[in-house]
Amino acid sequence: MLLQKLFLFLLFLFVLAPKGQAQQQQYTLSGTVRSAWGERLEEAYMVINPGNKIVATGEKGRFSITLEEGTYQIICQYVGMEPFSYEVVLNEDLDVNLELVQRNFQLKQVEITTQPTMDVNSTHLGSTYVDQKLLARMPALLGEADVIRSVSSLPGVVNAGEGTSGFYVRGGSADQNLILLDDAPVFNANHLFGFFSIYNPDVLESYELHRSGISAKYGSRISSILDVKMQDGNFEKMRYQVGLSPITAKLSADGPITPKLSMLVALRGAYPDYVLKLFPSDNIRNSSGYFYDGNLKFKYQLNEKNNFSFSGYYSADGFKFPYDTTYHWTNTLGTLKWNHLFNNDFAGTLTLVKSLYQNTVEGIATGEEFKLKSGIDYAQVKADLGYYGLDQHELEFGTSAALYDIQPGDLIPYGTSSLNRRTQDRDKGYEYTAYLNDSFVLNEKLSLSIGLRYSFFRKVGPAEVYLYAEGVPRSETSVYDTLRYSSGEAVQHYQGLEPRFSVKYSLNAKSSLKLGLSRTRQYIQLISNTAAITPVDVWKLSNKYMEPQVADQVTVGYFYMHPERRYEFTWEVYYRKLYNQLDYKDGAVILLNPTLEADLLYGEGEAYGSEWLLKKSKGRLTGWLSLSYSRSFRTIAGNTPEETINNGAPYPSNYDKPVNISIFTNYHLTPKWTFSSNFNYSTGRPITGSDSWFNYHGNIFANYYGRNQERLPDYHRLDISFNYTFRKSERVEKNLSISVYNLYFRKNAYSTLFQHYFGAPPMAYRLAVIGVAIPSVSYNIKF
Amino acid sequence: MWRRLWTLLLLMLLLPGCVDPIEFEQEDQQEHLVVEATFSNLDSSYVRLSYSQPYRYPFNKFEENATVYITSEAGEYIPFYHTQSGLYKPEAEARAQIGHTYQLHLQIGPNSYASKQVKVLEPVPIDSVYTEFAEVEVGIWGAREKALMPGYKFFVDYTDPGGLINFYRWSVTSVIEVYTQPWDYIDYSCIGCPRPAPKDCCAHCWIYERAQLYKVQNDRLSDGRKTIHQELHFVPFERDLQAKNKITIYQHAISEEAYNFFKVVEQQQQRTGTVFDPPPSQLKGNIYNVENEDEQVIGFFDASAVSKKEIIINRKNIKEMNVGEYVYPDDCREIRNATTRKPEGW
Repeated sequence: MLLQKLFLFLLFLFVLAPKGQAQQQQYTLSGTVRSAWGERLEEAYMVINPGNKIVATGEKGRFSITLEEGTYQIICQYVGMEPFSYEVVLNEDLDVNLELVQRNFQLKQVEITTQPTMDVNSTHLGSTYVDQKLLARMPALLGEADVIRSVSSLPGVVNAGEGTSGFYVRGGSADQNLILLDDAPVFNANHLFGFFSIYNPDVLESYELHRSGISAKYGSRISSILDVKMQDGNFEKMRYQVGLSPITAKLSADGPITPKLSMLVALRGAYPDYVLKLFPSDNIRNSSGYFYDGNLKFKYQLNEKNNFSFSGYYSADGFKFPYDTTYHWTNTLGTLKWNHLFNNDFAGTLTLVKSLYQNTVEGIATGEEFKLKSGIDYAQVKADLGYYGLDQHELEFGTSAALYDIQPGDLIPYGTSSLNRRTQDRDKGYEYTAYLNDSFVLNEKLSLSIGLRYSFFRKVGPAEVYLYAEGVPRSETSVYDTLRYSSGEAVQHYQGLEPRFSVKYSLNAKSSLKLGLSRTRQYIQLISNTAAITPVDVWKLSNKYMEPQVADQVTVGYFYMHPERRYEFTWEVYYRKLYNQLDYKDGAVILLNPTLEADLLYGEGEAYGSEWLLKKSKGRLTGWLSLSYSRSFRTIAGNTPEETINNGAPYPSNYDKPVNISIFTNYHLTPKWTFSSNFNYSTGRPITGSDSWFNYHGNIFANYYGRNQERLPDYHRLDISFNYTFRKSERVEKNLSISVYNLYFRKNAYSTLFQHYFGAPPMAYRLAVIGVAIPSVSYNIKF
Repeated sequence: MWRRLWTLLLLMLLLPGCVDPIEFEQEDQQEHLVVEATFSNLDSSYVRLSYSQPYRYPFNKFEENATVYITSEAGEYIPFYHTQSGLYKPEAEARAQIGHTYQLHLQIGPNSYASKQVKVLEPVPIDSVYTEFAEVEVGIWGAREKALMPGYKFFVDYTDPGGLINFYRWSVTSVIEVYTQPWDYIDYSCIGCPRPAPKDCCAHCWIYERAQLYKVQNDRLSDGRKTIHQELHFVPFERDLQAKNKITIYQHAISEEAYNFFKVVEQQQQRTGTVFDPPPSQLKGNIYNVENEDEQVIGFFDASAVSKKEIIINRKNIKEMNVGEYVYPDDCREIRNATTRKPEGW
């Protein structure tokens, strides 16, 4: 089956035969047989039917045979290669190029050559597709390839720092990315201090990142959609997979239960404590952490017109810093889908989604024992329909309703604790959407995609809305009245249209120009006073003071695809305007703060940039080079100086890393060995600098000024990996991967500290989360 | 073989050095006035004036020629006099009165500075002070790396008055008795050194130390409750508890502005550079240049009433471990803040 997806080159040498020649004219069929990376194969056999003629290649992999006019089936065989079948119509002399694939590499070869990351002829722009096979080749950290780490090497994406699984897209914050797992939104995709994400790479199908030209089908976040699909169980036979790496163990099984029902189950657990014990720092050594997660999928093929699928996911995480605080969180995700084919032109999907994120911070210090519980309960129902009956049109439309139910914080003291119990009102709201998107082909050159999305958000009680005195900075003490809303009562609503438009103009068969315009809206935000998503952050719905985040974006792009799909090149330039962006007052209190809005600052953002991607998809060497130059600014000009940052002038946002370079290469050393490398470079993140040091009550402090006026040193890192595929026996497939993360021991600064050590003048220090090369080995068996 | 390879791999992980100095372009380096000002209902009031310094300049710079005084709405006028190193003290009997509102004034050359008005609030008494044995990483004067040392953690209990919004801050003074060995002194700075150079004096001193603890607390989550086990301070056995140590804990009743200021100080001091750190921010105090409010002045005038409690620890009463003798083969007056003056009633 997969073989049919093989890429084939055909070069036709036309010899114009005069018309009216005798019927049984003879022609020469000749050709060259090569391996996938171009090596000419000697002694390859061609079986030609009808006639059962056999011909072998000679030196230089050439063959030639004279046949009568007709249609022939050629089956090409070579030791260790997958047989290749090909039909040829012989009505002139013909020279063909045949490419065979190593048996063991069959899957990888297919995946890497058949899935370009973009499509020159569609109206899509700003989206990238990566499947599991490609991900598996990227160098791993501690033996695990990771979706979010790989996303960070795409153009327009920067990572939030080592040890965080947040990423920033085109100048937006981490919470502006909708991270999906089989349609269910994920509110904390971190595992283990952020070194891993919740996606088990063994059962991943693919991911697609949309960062511009987002179809009207998608919404709810303003910067990007990371749509991650997990594999379905196969319908052929039971398959098992076992994986081991230094700190994780994985086990998965999938296959048919009945001819109509397939199942997939995957489990993964991590045991990092013994690695942590090896660190020199007491803080790390005395820390501990764990995570485990599981995927469960069912697919039921009722009949030709109906199928049902269920995808479930559960994960539990915990870590403990020394002394007195532990953190635990769980993600429970579920998606139930019904795909229905009304007729050949009309199909639809009904989806029920549930995402439950629960977080517990526990303090165990005497006198301050507490449990602080927070979380989100998200439920959604949506219908997506597609009508393809109109010539040259693809109509997509749908609607959805979602309920957000956030527990901002429930402080439960126990033991000798002097704390009072404190429970904040649940933060509840409904989001309704409807969309219509029409993609149509005007002519050979011009295609359009026009979409409109409408979203309506209603925040409901129970709630207390504080009214603040005008003219003074908002604070707990400037509250002059409180409005109370009972459970279910409408507190606030927002709504708006989100137009989406993109157009493609083909310059020729190989290249096109595209333009995309979009508006996106978001009614939920992450309140986090740190640079990354951490377990102490709070998700908050829009309210009277926190208006929905809105982004307008215009993107122009040039797309080129080599005729043989050997190379692809894209160049996109974008400009974004962001409204209702948040920043924080100095010393803002986030947890259990009823007047949280008073500690926040509101303003606007602006981002622009240019992204280039050159990708080579065929041959012995594959990979990509991605380069981007982008800027991202915020402007916070409040009514009072306390509510203004940098005097109201635009300042670089936390996500402003102008230059980004990412080079990923994958090279077939031998049929069994591949080598891959991944290099990343980015300008350092902006930080608040210090203009002087001072002595205060006997301690040395730094005088910070302004916000984000300095930068961390540049970030760069090279990872490599060697992958070895054992000779495939009848049933077992084994892979070994040896990788080194941060090969040249770069101490990339995660942050800077202005500190004073005795014996040294006060100065700036950098903190590197990873300062050494991290080697790892992982081993996978499929059977 | 695998085992050895594995060990090697793990060793690579062990390589230390996650915090390193980095160079910053230091073009916009500035000097700002720094004001430490504490005015209380006890005899611990002082003002210290200094300047923040560029990173290329590693020494303290004090302001020694300022005119410093405090006024109150009740008509009080309290002048402060320069003693040494930018330290200004009032007359011995000057005290803050609970309920009064005070303002600090500074005249430095042509520039006039003033603080915002600060009202002195009723202090909340400390119910008890007690200790617990612990091993804590502490920075020792003169050592670059922190060292893990055994000692006592100090805790307070207090009862928060219900129905009022209260903010707390703490400071500590200690008087430490030390015995040293001047007769074992070895001279390292002479020709033919090192050689023994016994000193005649002195072997018995008292070290007077004062520490502002950058720990603040509010009663947002514990209004009206008895608050126990508030950890404030750590005293290592070595040196500080080898004879006798009298520790006085002061509990300040501070304003919301003071709380916000010291909270940022506390955050800065606890910065470790990890994901859990809030972004650093400028310390915005309550002192300003009267003619030019845009000038940044670092510091806070904290007029607060305090309650205090003393605790005395004798080496012989330490049960948790056998504390060895403090070895310091020199004149004890060489220790920072040490004198041979015996405190009253010791």
